[in-house]
Amino acid sequence: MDGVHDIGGRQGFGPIAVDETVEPFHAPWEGRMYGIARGIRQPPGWNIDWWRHGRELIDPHDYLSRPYYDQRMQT
Amino acid sequence: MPTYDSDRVGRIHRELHSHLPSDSALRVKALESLLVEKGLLDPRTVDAWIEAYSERIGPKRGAEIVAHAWVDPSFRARLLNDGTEAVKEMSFGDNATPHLKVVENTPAVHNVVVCTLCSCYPTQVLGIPPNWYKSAEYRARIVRDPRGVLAEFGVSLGADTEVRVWDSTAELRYLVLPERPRGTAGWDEARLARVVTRNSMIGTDRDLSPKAREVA
Repeated sequence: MDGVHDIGGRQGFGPIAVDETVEPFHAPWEGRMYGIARGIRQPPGWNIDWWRHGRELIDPHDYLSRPYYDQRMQT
Repeated sequence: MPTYDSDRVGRIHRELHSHLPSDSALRVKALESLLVEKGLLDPRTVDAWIEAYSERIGPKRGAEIVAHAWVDPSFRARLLNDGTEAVKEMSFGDNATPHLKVVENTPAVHNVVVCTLCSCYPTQVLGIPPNWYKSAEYRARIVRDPRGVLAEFGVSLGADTEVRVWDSTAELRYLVLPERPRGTAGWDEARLARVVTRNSMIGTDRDLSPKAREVA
């Protein structure tokens, strides 16, 4: 919980891409990944804490460089 | 004697590769095939989720809630008191939302929402969060320098306007109730809903007056 994944307030980040268009998915694979994450059969005993743990196991380099839905796939 | 033009070869190389799907797209395809093969996923479920969040569920719902609150003071009071319960009155059909807290902008207060840990968001009323909301830049900076970040979004606040930053969790999501813009007296709900932007319900937009839109 003290790794790079807890990012609030960390310094050194550049400008935000504010001019994004409003559609929900910006490429077909983003939609597929979202659907997979929502639609997959979950193992017994699975919960949000396991999910968070998985997310925090992502390598810091990947966490800061791969696109959001790509990270979600790693999780 | 053959000549080697590295610029030309580079151009051809990039052109050929531009027709390949991205690494991310290929990984997702591989993952989906594997899950389907192992019987852990039905591809129709994936289609259904995409359809739901492309067609039915999106920021239009949030805009309807805001417009309803602007014209109906008793709904507004219920919404601010218990967002989760009040939204059920809108009969969107699916109410599987975690707890929803609605925070109200006033001339003296501006609210803005983030999920510093990841991407929690009131998806049932706003749909899929924008990519900037999920970006490291926004999550890191909005809590340290909210005024600076809001300026990047074109929101300038007076020094006497208080800024409240709400950090979402898996259990509690936030929706900003923007101020009803001037010059909209007598407008019906449908017309009002059309001036409510998605960003105004996250807090990265503030002045919804038709005049401010023209300038922007």
